[in-house]
Amino acid sequence: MKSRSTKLTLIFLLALAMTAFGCRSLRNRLSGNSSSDNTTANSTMTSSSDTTMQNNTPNNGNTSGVNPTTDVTGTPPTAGSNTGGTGTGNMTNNTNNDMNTPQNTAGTSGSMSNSLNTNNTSSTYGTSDSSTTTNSSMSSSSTTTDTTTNTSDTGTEGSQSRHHRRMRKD
Amino acid sequence: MIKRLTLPAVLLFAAASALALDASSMHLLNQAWPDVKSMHVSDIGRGVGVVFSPDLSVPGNCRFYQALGFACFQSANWEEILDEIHSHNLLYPERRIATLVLETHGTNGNGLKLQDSYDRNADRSYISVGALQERLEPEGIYFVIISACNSGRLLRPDIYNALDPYNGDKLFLPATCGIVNASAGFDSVHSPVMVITPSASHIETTLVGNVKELAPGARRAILESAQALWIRPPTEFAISDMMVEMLTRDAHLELAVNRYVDRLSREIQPQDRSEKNFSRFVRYVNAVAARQYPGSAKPAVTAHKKPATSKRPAAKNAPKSPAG
Repeated sequence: MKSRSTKLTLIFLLALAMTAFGCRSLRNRLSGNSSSDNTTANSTMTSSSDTTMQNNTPNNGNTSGVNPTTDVTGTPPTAGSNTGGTGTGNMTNNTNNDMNTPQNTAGTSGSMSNSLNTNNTSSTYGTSDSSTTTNSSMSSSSTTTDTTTNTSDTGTEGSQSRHHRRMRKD
Repeated sequence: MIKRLTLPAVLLFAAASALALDASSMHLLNQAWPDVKSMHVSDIGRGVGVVFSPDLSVPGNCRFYQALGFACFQSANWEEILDEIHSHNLLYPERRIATLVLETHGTNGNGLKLQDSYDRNADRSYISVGALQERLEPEGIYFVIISACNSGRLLRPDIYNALDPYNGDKLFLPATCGIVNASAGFDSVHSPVMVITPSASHIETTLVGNVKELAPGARRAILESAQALWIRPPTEFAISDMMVEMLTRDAHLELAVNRYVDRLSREIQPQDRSEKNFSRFVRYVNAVAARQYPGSAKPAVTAHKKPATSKRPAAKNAPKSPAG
């Protein structure tokens, strides 16, 4: 009898825990956006932005630094800079991402850096000029943004171990 | 005692000869391509033209070289290339070229080859060294630097003026766009055009890089240069080991003028060496960009290493460069 009540208590506690914490992680896991998956999502975005970047180049120096393909619903490329003017640009970007991909709600800070990284790698020429200008208007998060920019730059520059495609001239 | 002295003497003599050779190579290179410390990224290739075989290039490659100040020509047809060089020096006197770097195939030293691909029916043409001298002299080009495989063999007397299309080499694919030879009466000995090749023949290689691998300052400089030229900003580029060695004045670079080699070489340097050259090229362009934008380049580097001290110079520089 005792064991039955213990079992019931355990089931109740488990159900409670699931409602409180489990559902979110389960939902995230099902949607493929766990904390470890964030990195994967990032790298996927980067590689896809590589391809798009070449398509973007005909825009003759479009340095907006926002990749249209990263936005699933097709938010215009200027969306980031428009919201940046309000001083809550990062948050608005996150909201955009949340709307498009619900799994990004897993961690606020994670999605912030996620969106920033996407911005940085989205355009070959996007990091130096326009991104910095936009970020400077957002005084509250400027430090974070600078760090992110530097990290991404040094990451690509110092990739000595990476092997480039080689062609023979025979 | 004498034996003891002989060994150092021999070593000293060998070192001196090596140094002299190196010095002569550098002297030669400085003649063809003066070692000017470029202050702008768009000045790196000033006065120098590059010819690319299409299959050794990448999309937008010429735009990259143009943004660096080079004149760039790319086609599988040598006649088209020669016409474009003529037009360039005629139409852009302020950007005239006197030196031409050939990023082409050497066909195992049997002819300078331009081609779209290795497909037998692809567009493809060949030119002899004598023909280059003959055709480039009227254009005011006095230095031709060949960055092709086994380039020393191209200067062999029997194929100097006229190539042998029946040489039996598998790489000598059908010349679908023709062979350019020197005219029958051409005297290469008295030609003022110097043909420069690496001293030792070997397999030359080219690496493909992305503009994103450059520092933000360098990317900005390339973007501005491209915009000034009304060309689309490049995304990719192909850079050869020899080009890097010339740009960075590498001590390993050994050049020769009008000297032919008979032996066919299969020697190829390891990929790591090419990767190191690539890194040197990136650093070189970044350094020029840092000179071009002295204010903006500093915080990017220092901010990463020393966040506390970086804020001060950034704050000092900020009012000076509002456009930055």
